[in-house]
Amino acid sequence: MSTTISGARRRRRMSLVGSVGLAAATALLLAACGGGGSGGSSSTTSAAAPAGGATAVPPDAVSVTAMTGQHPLPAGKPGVGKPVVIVGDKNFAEEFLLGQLYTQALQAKGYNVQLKPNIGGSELINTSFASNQINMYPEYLGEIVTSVAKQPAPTSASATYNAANQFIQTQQGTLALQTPFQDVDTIVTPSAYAQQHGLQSVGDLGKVGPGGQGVTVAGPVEFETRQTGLVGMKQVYNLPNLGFLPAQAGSQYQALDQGSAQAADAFSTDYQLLSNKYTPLTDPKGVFGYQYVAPVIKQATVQAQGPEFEQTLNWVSSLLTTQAIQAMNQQVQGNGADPAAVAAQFLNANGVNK
Amino acid sequence: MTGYLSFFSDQAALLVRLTVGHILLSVVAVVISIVIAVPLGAWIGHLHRGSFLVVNAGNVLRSLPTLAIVAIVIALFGFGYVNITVALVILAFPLVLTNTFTAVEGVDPGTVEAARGMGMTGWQILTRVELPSSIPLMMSGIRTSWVYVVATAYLATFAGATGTLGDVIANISGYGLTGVLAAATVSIVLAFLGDALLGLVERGLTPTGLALAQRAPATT
Repeated sequence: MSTTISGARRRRRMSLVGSVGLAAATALLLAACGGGGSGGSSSTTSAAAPAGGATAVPPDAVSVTAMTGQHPLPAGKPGVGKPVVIVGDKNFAEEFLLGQLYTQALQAKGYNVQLKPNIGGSELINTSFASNQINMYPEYLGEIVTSVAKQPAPTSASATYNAANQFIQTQQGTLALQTPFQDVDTIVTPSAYAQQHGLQSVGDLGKVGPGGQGVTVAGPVEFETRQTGLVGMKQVYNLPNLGFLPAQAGSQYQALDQGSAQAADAFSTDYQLLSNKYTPLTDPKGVFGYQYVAPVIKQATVQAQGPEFEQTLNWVSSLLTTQAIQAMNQQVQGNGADPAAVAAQFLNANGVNK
Repeated sequence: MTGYLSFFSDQAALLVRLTVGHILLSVVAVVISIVIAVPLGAWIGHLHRGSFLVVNAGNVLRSLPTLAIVAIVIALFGFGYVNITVALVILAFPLVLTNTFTAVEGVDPGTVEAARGMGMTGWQILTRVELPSSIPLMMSGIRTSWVYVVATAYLATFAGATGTLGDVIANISGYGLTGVLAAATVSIVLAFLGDALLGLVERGLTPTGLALAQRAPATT
C-alpha cells in the first residue's frame, strides 16, 4: 500500500511543475544559480565514469543487471524486415528520455519501432501493455511490484527483479536485464554537513543527536507518512527524533540551501547531485526499496524480433549509470533540452552507428 | 462512508491539533490584513483619491495564485510560517482594502457635508461618520477574506509549515480520500463558523441608526 504513493509521486513530479509554471520557473532559476557548473560537460564524458559508491549495483543483483562494458552492441542492421514494435513510456521527464534511448537504439539497428510517449503512470501503462496496445516499455521494477502487482516491497534488488519478472510473465511478458542505475528515494545532506558529522549512511544521522535529534528532513508531504519514507527511516534506523519539513519535489534542495532542513528526500538520479554540494546517504537496509529500470517486453515480441533485439536493449541499459542519467536529466530537466535530441547525442557518443 | 465518519473518531487528536493550528494561522493572516488594509482603505476613501490605483493594485494581487506566491516567497523568506502568512495576507489584504475603500468613499456626501457644517474636523468626520457608516460593507470584505483564507491555509504544507489541516488535505496517499474529505469538511465548517461569528460582530458594530435605516426601507 505504502508504495502506490511512490508511483503517485513520480507522476506528481511533472504535473506539479507544469501546473505552477511560476513556481517551477523560480525553482529552476534558483537551482540553476545554486547547482550549475557542470552543465556543459555532457553525457559523453560521464557515461564512461563508474557509478558512485552510493549507487553501486548490489552483489545479489549483478546477474540480472546489464553491467557496464559487458554487453556489446550487435553489428549491422539485424532489425531490417522485422515486424513493427510499439514502445511506450510514462509521463515524466526521465521516462521520456528512457523511451527515446531504447527506441532510437533499436531504430539505428534497423528495427521498425514506433514510440508512444507520455502514456501515463505505472498502472495505466501496464494496462496498455497487458492489453497489447504497446509491446514494450521501460519501467522501474519496484513500481511493478508495489504499485501494479500491489505486493509488499521486496527486501533486495534481485528479489525485486524476480518479483517484477514473475508478475510480468502473467501478462505474457518478460524483463530484459536491468540498468546499473536506479531512481529511488535517497536522503541527501549538504556535503559540508555530512563531513562535519561524518555521515555516510542514513543510520549515521543518529550521530548528530540521539535518535536523529536536530535533523530535519525535507520532503514531499506524503513522505512523512510513508513506510518507504520517514516512517520506515525512523523505525529501521532507530531515528525517532527526526523532524520533518514539507517541501515540494524540487524545492527540497532550496530547503537545504537555506538551512531550513539538514537532510532531504530526493531522487537518486536528480541532476542536482552531479555537483559536490550534496552528499547522498546510502540506504544499506533498503528502506526505500529498489527502483532499477528494465525494458518490459512481450514474449511474442522477443521471439519475433530475434536475439539481437534484446542484445540491443541490454547494450543501452548497460550504458545507463547513475551519472550518465543524471547528466542527461540535467540537460532535459535543468536546461530544457529535447529528450529526443539528448538521447540521440548520448547514443551517438557511445557509438550506436559504428 | 463509515471510513469517513470513523476518521473523525480515530484521528480526533490529530484533527483537533491541526484545526487549532489552522485557526491560528488564519486568524493571524486576517488580522494582519485588517491592520494594514483598513487604515489604508479608509484614508484613500476619505480623500476620494487614488481609487484607480487601489482597485487595480487590488485586482492584480487577487489574481496571483497563492501557490505561486508561496513558491516565490520561499526564495525571499524561506520555508515556514512567515512564508504562508505572507501568502495569505496577499490573498486577504486586497479584499479588505477594496471593500473598506469603496465603503468609505461611498458614504452619502450629504451626511459628510452635514458633519463638516457642524464643524467636525477631517479626522472626526472619518472616525465618527464615515467609518461607522462603512461597517457593513467593510465587514463583508473581512468575512469574505476569512472564508478565502481558511480555504487556502492548507497550502501551509507547501510552504514548509506543518500543523494545519493541509497536512492531511495534501497527503491523500497517507490518509486516503476519507481523511482528505474529513479534513476538508473541518475546513469548510471553520469557514462558515468564522463567517457567522464575524456576522455577529458586524451586527454589534453597526450603529443603531444605520441598522434602523437599513431596515426601514423594507417596511415601507
